Amino acid sequence: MTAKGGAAMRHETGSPVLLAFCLLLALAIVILAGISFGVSGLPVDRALHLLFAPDSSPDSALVWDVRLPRAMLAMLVGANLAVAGVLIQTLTRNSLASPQTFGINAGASLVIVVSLIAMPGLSAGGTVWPAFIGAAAVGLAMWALSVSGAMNEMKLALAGISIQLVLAALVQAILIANNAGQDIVYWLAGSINGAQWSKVWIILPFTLLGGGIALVAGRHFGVLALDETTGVSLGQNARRVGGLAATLIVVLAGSAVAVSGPIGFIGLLVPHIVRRLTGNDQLTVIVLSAITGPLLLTAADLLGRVAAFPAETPVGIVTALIGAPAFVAILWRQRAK
Amino acid sequence: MTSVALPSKSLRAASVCLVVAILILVIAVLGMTIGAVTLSVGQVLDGIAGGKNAFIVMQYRAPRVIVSILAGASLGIAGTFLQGALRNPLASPDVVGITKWAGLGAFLAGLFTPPAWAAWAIPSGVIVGAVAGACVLLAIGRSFGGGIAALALVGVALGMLAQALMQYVMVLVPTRADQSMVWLAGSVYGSTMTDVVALSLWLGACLPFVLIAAIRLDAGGFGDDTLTSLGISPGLLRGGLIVVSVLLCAGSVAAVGSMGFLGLLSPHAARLLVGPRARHMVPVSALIGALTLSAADLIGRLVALPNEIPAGIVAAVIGGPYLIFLLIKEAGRHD
Repeated sequence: MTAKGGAAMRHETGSPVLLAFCLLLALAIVILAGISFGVSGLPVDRALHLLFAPDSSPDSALVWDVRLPRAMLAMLVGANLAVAGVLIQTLTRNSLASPQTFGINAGASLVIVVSLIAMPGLSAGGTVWPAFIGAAAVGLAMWALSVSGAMNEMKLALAGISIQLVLAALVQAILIANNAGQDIVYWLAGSINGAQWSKVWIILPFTLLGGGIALVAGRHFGVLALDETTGVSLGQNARRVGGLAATLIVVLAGSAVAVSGPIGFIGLLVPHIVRRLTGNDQLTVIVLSAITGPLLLTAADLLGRVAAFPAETPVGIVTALIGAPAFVAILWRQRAK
Repeated sequence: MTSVALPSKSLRAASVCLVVAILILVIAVLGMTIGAVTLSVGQVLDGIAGGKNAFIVMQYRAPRVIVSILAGASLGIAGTFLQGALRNPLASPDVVGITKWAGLGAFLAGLFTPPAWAAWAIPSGVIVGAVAGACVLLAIGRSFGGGIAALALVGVALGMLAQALMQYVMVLVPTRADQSMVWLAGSVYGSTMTDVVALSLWLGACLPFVLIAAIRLDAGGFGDDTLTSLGISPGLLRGGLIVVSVLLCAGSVAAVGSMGFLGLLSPHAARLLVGPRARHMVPVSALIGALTLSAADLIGRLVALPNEIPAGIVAAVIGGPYLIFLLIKEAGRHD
């Protein structure tokens, strides 16, 4: 563990623009690798060529109908979860908060599964609204626990994880009771396998809208991070900004779960990585998280495809394998402070 | 409770034990009679004696009922010892992920050894997994300085890691996926007389250590200085309690998989009912563990007929809210 002073010093170093450029470059490389790699591998130059000049060959169909939608979906889901993570950590002033650790992903999943069973004909697009309802309900419960001020940071995270475990158990029970396991189990692990353009079109408007508002309002979110007294003196404004942030969290996390299942740890880790790289300026953190989230999730997806090749590891398992130790590391740093 | 008026705490504990034992008996009788074929109590007794329903009763229902009672009891005691050893009300073997590591160990052992070795390979895997999980938790927990919620959170994260590892191996070796699903959720389904015998032998072997640990448990609440002045080595005492807890937990995971929340719930319920003294608390939490697991199994069998919900899922649905309630209740106190 580096000295505490060292960590603080490093905060002011990186230039955000340079960082953004490097991250985007890395993202492009990972996406290209993802498009080239697979059971039917393509040379990188061929993949690149087909991206810009699609033709009627099977390879072109592979790139455009299978691998590109998958990459797009991973990017959008990654961005949604990462930005939702930044907002929820700011809003609750809890560095252990994320759509997963506060049970919001699981809430969305539960309502989606219930609606899929109640309405078997529900389209993929139709699952977005149930997801919002579930995310909002759990979000409200966690918010109530959070503002009551009765729990410290770690107990609150533990409560969120308990909610997550209970809701996940309920989902399992419902699936078993309805013999609906096969189709939904894979989705439950959190996966972007079998991504189609239709799913991309479902999440895209929410990413653009939610992410766009988060960017525009980015500077104002800083008010939430201020201490109680300063926050009170800014009064009304802080409350309105808080409400906006909460809505954005529900929209971003809910739509991500609707298309990809509850993928964990992205929303928790990305804000920490970004803050370490660039400091605490809200707007910068949001922008860089919106790039780092996609980078992390596309990389995890690629890893999941490579690790047990030709079998596919759902990306949610990969993020858990990476994320759980990283979560312990974050806890460790909390203790050190 | 009528015993409130009685002067002696021991009498109260005894009556609580009696009431819980009667409840267990009722659940057990229900568990024996209810199923695809409903039997009357008389038919069950006849089956036990070797009558015409002997096959259903002795092959299917009795092992299941007995295993749920034994495994529940050992998880209850394991939770009591671990919470006492770490002086942490949230540190039961299931919350801090030790059951998940035990399940992972069992799964890997089953995977990498020939099927003929399963009888001893899987139990060894369970023990190695549980011990490894406990060691990692304690090693990391030590450097955290013993914050109650911090240790529990580290344990939860380590449990998630074990679960993800198991899911990853399931992807690698899909043919074993069914087996590992049971380890993941925790279920009494498919228990046989062999399981009953194995678990009984294991618990019998643990019993002397459990008794010694139970006698020493009260001392665990004292500070290290007090212990030393009493002539007890704090490290030895806490280490011993943890070892016994891990062994009990390993035995139950070998029988029923990564059953969650029982080890957390039982000691708390026991403390509420009979107070914190070990000689009252240990038997009561064992009985409550047994009651909870057999009830969870019964509920799981009834709630979604003709399907069965694994008892582990039912236990999570009951135990999770209880953990949150505990967190809220404990919130006012210092960390």
